[in-house]
Amino acid sequence: MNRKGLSLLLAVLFLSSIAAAPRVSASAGTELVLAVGKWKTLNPLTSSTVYSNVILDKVYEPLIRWDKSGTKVTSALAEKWEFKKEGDNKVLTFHLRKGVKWHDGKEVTAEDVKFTIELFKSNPAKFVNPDTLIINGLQEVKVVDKYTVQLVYNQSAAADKFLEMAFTTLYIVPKHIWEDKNIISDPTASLDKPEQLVGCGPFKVAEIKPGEYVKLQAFKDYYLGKPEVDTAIFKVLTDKNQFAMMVANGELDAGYFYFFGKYLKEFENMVSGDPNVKIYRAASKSTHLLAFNFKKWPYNDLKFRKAIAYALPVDKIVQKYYGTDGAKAGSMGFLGPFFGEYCKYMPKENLYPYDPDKAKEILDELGFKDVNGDGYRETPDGKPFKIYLLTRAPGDSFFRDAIGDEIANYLKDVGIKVDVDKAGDYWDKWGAGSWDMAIVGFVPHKPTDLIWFTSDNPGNRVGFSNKTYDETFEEFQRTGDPALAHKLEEILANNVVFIALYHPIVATPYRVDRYKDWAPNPRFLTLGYWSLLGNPEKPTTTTSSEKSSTTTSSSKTPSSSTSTTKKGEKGLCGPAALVLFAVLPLLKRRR
Amino acid sequence: MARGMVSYTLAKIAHRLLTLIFVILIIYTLLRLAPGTPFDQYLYQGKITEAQYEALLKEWGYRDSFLVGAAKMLYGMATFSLFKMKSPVYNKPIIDLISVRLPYTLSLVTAAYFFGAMLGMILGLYCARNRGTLKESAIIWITLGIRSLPVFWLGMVLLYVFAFKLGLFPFLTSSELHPRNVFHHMIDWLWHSLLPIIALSKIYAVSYLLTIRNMVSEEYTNDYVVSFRAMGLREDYIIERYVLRSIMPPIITMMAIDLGFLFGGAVVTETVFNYPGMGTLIYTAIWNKDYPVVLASFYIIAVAVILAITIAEITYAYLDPRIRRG
Repeated sequence: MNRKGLSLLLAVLFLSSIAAAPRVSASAGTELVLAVGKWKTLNPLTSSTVYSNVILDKVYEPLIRWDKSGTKVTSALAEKWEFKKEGDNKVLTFHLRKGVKWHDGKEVTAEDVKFTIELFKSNPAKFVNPDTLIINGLQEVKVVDKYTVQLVYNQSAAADKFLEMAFTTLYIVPKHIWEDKNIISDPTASLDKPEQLVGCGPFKVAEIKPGEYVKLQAFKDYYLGKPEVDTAIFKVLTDKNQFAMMVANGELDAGYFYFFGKYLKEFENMVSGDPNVKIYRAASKSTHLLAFNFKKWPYNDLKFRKAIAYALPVDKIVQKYYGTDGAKAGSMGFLGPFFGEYCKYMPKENLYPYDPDKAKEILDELGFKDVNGDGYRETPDGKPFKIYLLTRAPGDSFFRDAIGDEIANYLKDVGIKVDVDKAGDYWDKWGAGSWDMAIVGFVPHKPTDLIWFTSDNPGNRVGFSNKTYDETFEEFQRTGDPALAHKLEEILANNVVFIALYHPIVATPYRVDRYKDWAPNPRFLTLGYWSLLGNPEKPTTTTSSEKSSTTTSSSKTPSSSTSTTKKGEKGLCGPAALVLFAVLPLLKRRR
Repeated sequence: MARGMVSYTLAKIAHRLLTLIFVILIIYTLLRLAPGTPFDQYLYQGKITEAQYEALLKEWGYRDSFLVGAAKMLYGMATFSLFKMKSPVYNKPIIDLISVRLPYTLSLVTAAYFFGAMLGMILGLYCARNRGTLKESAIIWITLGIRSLPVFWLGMVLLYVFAFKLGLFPFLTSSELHPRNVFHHMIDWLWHSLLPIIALSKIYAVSYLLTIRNMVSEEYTNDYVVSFRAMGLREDYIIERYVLRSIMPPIITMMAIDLGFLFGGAVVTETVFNYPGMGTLIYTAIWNKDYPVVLASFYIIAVAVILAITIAEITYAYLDPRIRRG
């Protein structure tokens, strides 16, 4: 081939690569492309990120799940369940649905449930995904018949309500797959092959590329019928800006990413006039607060903490960055309105309203006075005093830094010097306790997460210790009485264990041009179980589509194997083409 | 002569081995100095108890003394059993993690490397030959401008313009098209990776352009070039036959070092473009204090760099006997 021909060929190659179809249209049915963040493992028992749980929630079934609203529990694998008292013991009986199938066609039985619970109990340090309340006081797991399982708890078991909530975190796994050493050699290992991830949920795993995407396909034998979405591709994304752009130009349908404050405004401008982009807003259950280090003086002094509380107009600070509708004021009792009857909502301004004069008065009383006249107070024994404030956790929004600066400014007004630390090693410092005050985010999932403030809980990094609190918590966990939760929250508020800042109101966009029946709720936002289930088709009406989906599922295996064998070429051909591009000028050069 | 070559090579290899051990020890020390373990998050969230936490730390070697830990790692490297060790974060053999990432990284970085280096060399030569002209200063100014653009910024601009505004390229690097044939697959790969390749090749292009231009210009001031010109030899002939040959050794070293670093991927580019390569693996591993994965990755990079440099040196010791004699 002469040089001209070669360069022409390369030019054609280049242009055709640009013109290649941007999006593969699905051969049949609804295909959604969704974004999640990076996850470490898809093992349903060891997964520890919300992103993997968003995916696993579609592949595996728990016994009990959150309903469409995300606030009440409803039946999943267990059709019904009941609690019984047998002497001192509590017996929880699950009646499983009959005829539920694993993705490989075998039936789900009580043996699988027993296997899963016992596996979890054997190594709770490694299986960190399920809630430990499930095995708290668990004496025995009995298989009564093929569809009935009984769990016997002693008196240290949690309240019925809390046990129900705990079971929403336990994905039941198939015994026949997990005991097969050829498929899963180590149940605590990271799983990322479709044959390892056999569940009984509405979707089955068709293809996984670690760090890139997971492709799920509707499971036609799902007990509620085939889900409305046929294919869901979960892509890994790390950047909010990219997420915004991809949703705006239609490359993504939704994702577990959200905006607030000015980012939301920018996004709204970006998609203004596009009727296919909707925005779902919900108050997040996460709570951001200003914590005190109880292991240090003067932060262990209630008066000092109150002085700080009086010195800060939290509502003003939060509004400056989140606007009036971007965040809800946090509750001094930790749990936010998300927790319904368990929450006694106590914004800081109601209990300790902004009053800098009162703050100064308390500080004077404590002996913090400006002795050397530099504008900042010294400690009672005349040493310079400075608060070391940690603000940024990795991957967090920039608002926390700004809010930290704002807090420093208000404290300066009452004569306290603050060093704001915005370095990235937040977690190391937080864990080591080398901080005075810190802005920290907590994501409580259930009312019993009030345990984080009991004396010996490893999650209690602030070092708060209160005997009444510990005892009340014990009782609360056992009885589930909302009045006790309110009592706990009052103890926290009266002791000013932290200064509640805000619950962000998250906003996440989704597209309605390819799919309409989104059912977002505050738990998994737009990517919840109910969202992709839509209106499931009952198995009886799907005889015609059944054939097509079986053929696609059988053709799946060879095609995915070809893509792996082609990997070698992937590493070679592209660079080779580029080298040719680069050599082009040399070839064309006049000798 | 042959014996000189052998002893020279052996001495070099011994020297390199020491370098390798030294590099690994430095990295291991830095890792040990950084606080934190992969299990801290579980502890802080109250998912595991203090006792379980301690047991995990013991099991995964985070409670080993410095010397024991270092000895374990070095032994693992010497026998290559390091790659069979499991990462505490993924609970998976390291070889499984790296073997998935390495092809991605190599394809991206190799392409960028060749594309960038070629472009840089050609433009560098062009500049040297047109020294003092308007064209040359225009190229140099543009180059210096591009050089000062950070890669992450360039990456975001490329994405914004070509992926978002114009819609010509995809945002993500994952290719889902099931290829009909090799050629189709190649185009699909190129379409998905062109933006990161462009962003990354900038680094190579700029450095090679400036180096080559300076070296060739310097070589041009030598008397032999003047006399060849006076003899009426063609400019192309002088460059190919004499100038390029005399500047070859430093360029070979430069290329070899870059070649070795290909195995490390490109953290910034990979992060901006969501590219699942070695760079992001190392980055997250450092975040998670995943000692075995960090060490294994740096081990691969160090071996690759040292190997490439050694080969380069041996090559030009072979080409140029003066180097061999010291």
